Order: sequence, then C-alpha cells, then structure tokens
Amino acid sequence: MSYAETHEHHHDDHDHKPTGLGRWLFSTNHKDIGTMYLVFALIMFFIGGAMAMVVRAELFQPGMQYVDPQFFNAMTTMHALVMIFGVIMPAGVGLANWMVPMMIGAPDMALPRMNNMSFWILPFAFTMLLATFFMEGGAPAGGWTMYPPLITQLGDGFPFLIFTVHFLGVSSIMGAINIIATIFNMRAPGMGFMQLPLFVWTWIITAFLLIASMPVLAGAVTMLLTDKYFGTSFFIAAGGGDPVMFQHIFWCFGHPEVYILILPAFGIVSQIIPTFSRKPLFGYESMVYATAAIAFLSFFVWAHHMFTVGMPLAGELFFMYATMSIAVPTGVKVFNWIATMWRGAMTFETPMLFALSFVILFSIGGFSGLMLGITPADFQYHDTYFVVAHFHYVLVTGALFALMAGAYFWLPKWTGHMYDEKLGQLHFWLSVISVNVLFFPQHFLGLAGMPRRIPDYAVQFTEWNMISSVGGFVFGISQLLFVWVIVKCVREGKKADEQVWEGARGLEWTLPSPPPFHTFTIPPKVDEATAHS
Amino acid sequence: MGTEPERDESEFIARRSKANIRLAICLALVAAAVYFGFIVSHM
Ligand code: HEM
Ligand SMILES: [Cu+2]
Repeated sequence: MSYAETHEHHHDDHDHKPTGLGRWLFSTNHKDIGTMYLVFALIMFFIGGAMAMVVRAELFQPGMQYVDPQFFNAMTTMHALVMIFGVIMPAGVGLANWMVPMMIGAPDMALPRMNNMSFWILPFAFTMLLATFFMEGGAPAGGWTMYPPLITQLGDGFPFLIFTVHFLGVSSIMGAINIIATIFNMRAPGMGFMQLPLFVWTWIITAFLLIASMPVLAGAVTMLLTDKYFGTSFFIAAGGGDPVMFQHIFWCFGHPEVYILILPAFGIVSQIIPTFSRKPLFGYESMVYATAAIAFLSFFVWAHHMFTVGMPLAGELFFMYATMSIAVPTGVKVFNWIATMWRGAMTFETPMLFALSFVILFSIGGFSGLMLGITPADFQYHDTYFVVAHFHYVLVTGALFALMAGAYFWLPKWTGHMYDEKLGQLHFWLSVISVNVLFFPQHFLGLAGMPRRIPDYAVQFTEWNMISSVGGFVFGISQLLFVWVIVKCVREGKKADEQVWEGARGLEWTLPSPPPFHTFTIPPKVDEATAHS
Repeated sequence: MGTEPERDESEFIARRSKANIRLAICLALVAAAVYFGFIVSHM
C-alpha cells in the first residue's frame, strides 16, 4: 500500500515543482533543502580533502618540501574546520531534512522558511572562511580550536573567522530548532515517541546538544573578538584575564560537539543493521536511553582535552572517571548492534558493509579514546599523532563511514534508481583498506612521540609517515569513485521500487522511489507494522 | 486511507503552526540565554 498514491489522486495539482534557479534559492521543500545540504557537504568534502592531501604530501618525508610552515598550519586548521562544520554537520542535517519528515509521516519540516535560511547561510559562511586565504596574514593557522593568544595573532582573516563561526552557529541552531519542532509537533497520529525510528531519536538528542552547545562556542569567539578589537581581557593575562579559561569554554562546547557529529551516525547505523539482518533492532529502548545518557554525560568530560594544562588533582580525577563512564552507554549500543545481527539473515550490500566497518572501526576509536582518557597516560599521548589517530577513527571510519552508509542506503529512495552495487562495493573496499593504512600507523607514530601540527619531524618517524601518506592518497582518490557512483545512479541506475531493500521497515519505504515533491499532506495512520524497524 | 481531509483541517494546521513558532521562540531564547550567560559570567 502506498500512502503517497492516495494523496496523489487528490492533490496532483500540488506536485508541480518550481523550476529553474528559484526552485533552489527560495526552496522551502525539505527534500530539495536536504539535497542542497548533501551536495554542499560533498563539495566541501573535496575542498577539505585537498587540504589533507597537502598535509600528507608535506609529511611524506622529513624536512620541508612543498609548503612553508605557516601555510602547513593553515592547511591543518582549515581542513578541520571545513570537515567538521562543512562536511559532517551539514551532511547530517541534510539526511535529517530528507528522512525525518518521511519517517514520522509529516508533510515537511515545521518551519520551512527558516529551513531555507539555515541552509543558505552555509555557502556564505564558507565563502567568507575560504576568502581568508587571500587576505593579509593568510588563513587561520592556530588550530581549529582557536586557542588564544596564538589565534589573536592572525591577520585580517581574524574577524572573518569569528563571523564565520557565528554564522555557522546561527545556521545550526536554526536547523536544530526546526528539527525539534518537526519531531515534537508534526508526527503522524499513532507515531508516539517510542515508535520513532532510531535515526529520528538520535536527531532529537543531537538537536538539543546543538542548542545547548553552539551558543557556548559563539560566546567564546565573541570574547576573542572583543579581546582583540574592543579592549576586553577575557583571555589576556596582561589585563587580568586567563587564556586557560578559553580552553575550558571551548571544550565545554567541543566535547558535546563530537557527539553532535557521532549521534546521527549512530542513528543511521541503527537503521541499516536491522534492515540487512532482517531482524528488528535489538534493545530499542535501551538504545534511546543510552543515546540520551551519552549526550548528558558529554557535558561533564570536557577537561579530558586539557589534562596537561595543570588542574587540581581532584579535577584530573573527576574528568578521568567521567570520561570513562561514557564507555558504558557506548558499550550498550555496540552490544545491541551485534545482538541485532545475531542469527539474522544477513546480506552484505554496500550500506551494510559501511555500517559493519563502522561498528568495528568506531570501536577502535573508542578504545584509543579510553586510553587518552586515562590522565597519567594522556600526559604522554597529548598533542601527539596518537590523538590524531584517535579522532580520525571516530570521525572518518565513524561519522563519515556512517554517512556513506546512509547515502548508499537512501540513494535509491531519493533518486528512484539503484546505484551500481559492484562499484559501491569497490568504493567500500578501497576506502576501508586505505583508511586503515592511512590512520593505523599514526597510533605508532604518536606512541613514539611524533607531535601533531608540525610540518617537519625526526627521521625515525619516516617509514610510518610514508605508509600513512600512501594510504591517504589512495583514500582521497577512492572518494572520486563515490561521486561517479552517484552520477551513474542518477543517470542510468535501474529503477528502484518503493521498498528498495527486502528488510526495510518504516513509513519512508511505503512512499514511491523517488517520493513525490510533497508527501503525507494527509497524515498516514501508523500501526505497529509501519512503525520503527 | 483515502478519505478527504476534514473541514477543520486548516484550523488544525493553523494551530499547529502557532505551536511550532512558540516552540521555536522558546528554544531560541534558551540558546540566547546560554550565549549571553557565558559571556556575562566571564566578565
Ligand atoms: C569513547 C568515547 C571517547 C573517549 C573516551 C574520548 C577521549 C578523548 C580524549 C581524552 C581526547 C583528548 C586527547 C588529547 O588531546 O590528549 C580526545 C580527543 C578528541 N576526540 Fe575523543 N573520545 C571519545 C570519542 C570521540 C568521538 C565519538 C569523537 C567524534 C566523533 C571524538 C573526537 C575527538 C576529537 C576531534 C579529538 C581531538 C580534539 C583536538 O584536540 O583537536 N572522540 N578524545
Ligand atoms: Cu572530548
């Protein structure tokens, strides 16, 4: 049965899409806005990726080869800012835009015009940020964490960096408000909170994290701005301020932020694993509570990023134990994913392959996180490549792989065409092998003492750096295949039916592929069978 | 399924958009409070 069919009979006059540039510029349609978010994220992925290639090229050998140290530091800083705020976050919001209304049986997002604004702020913000490359003093190079006093030494780019961060904050907060209003007010009758698909749940929690933490970042950079231009001394020691205070405020945002990046990924994986195991998600309720627990705890662990700045012993211990306690709800989630697969009738299409590698490789990142969370151990690991290895396992093989999994999973629904399964699997295998060649050796480099954010290194680090760089180049090139898979899917993929995947459950799979421009203008009735998988 | 929308559908939609806007304003106020709270408390 198709809900959209019934709706089309009555309202086919509604399905006229606006045409031309106006369709995109003035869009209030959640599907079009979702597409724009996703395309934007993909473009930024290659811009941020190009910067990473520069970093890996310079680090291929010891000594200075291609770029000067200032530019090298600009590359690492801008790479991080672009990947975090320009790729992972927009891609997550893009998926939420596309999928949340269809999953809960809503006709659109609750506040469609604000939705348009949330998206269109992004291209302007990033144009501003990237423009700093051409300014006196160059692009930000003090690290994405923007610690003063170093960051205030940036030239003309400084206010552009600050305003970019403000814009990104406004965009995410508006996006988060929209998602909460949509899920709270627009659910179809019968869709209670405990019937929501897990992807929707993770987005409720992520949206609250955004509203609570983005203003903290905005406040921190506002204080940087007034310190530099308006004579305040929030973080200037000479004026009675405290530079370490910035680090506390930054990480009070920063750690919840890393969960903003990973919780939607948890949601995606929780949709995919049941589908390809042909079993309902194991422990649905415990998944919801574990996600909420992770989000709550994420506000009390921030100083694990600052163990080495000199804190009272009680502080060091508190943040060590608080950090470790997050492993408990995280363990619940990993257990549930594995239990879902237990005795399932599993198949291994591309989305499932990415989701499975997510479970394994994200766990490796979790374990290195635990190691870093041990205060005395972190005195050794801090600011080494071990940290770089850690956050790339959780962010690349974690967040990014889950987004890839989601893209393959929903691509047939969005476009109405199947992607090329062989090419998808080729993309997966190239990515999963090269990403480990790229990041695993960085653990060894870090343990051996190689510092992060430095363009040159001692000769004993050469071999692992060469291997890492080769992995990096292969990983980078492999991602071009992803674009090819998408183009091929849109152009000539074979027709997809509504269900797409045999094991798929939920309202979104009752709609035709691609879904009509407007869906669920009459709310569907939700019963057990169509509720969460 | 397949029933025409009821008469009071538009009234329902109006009520719902009011609720949406109210919720949005509340959440925006929370965000603003966090923003100014952090700055003011560090002055
Ligand atoms: C299993 C839970 C986790 C634990 C216990 C953990 C622990 C830590 C610790 C202690 C550090 C600081 C290391 C140092 O600078 O010396 C760190 C850094 C970092 N973590 Fe995690 N982490 C966890 C999960 C995650 C997740 C899920 C993400 C993102 C999706 C993430 C992203 C990062 C990033 C980006 C940094 C580096 C920040 C920087 O200095 O630039 N972590 N982690
Ligand atoms: Cu953290």
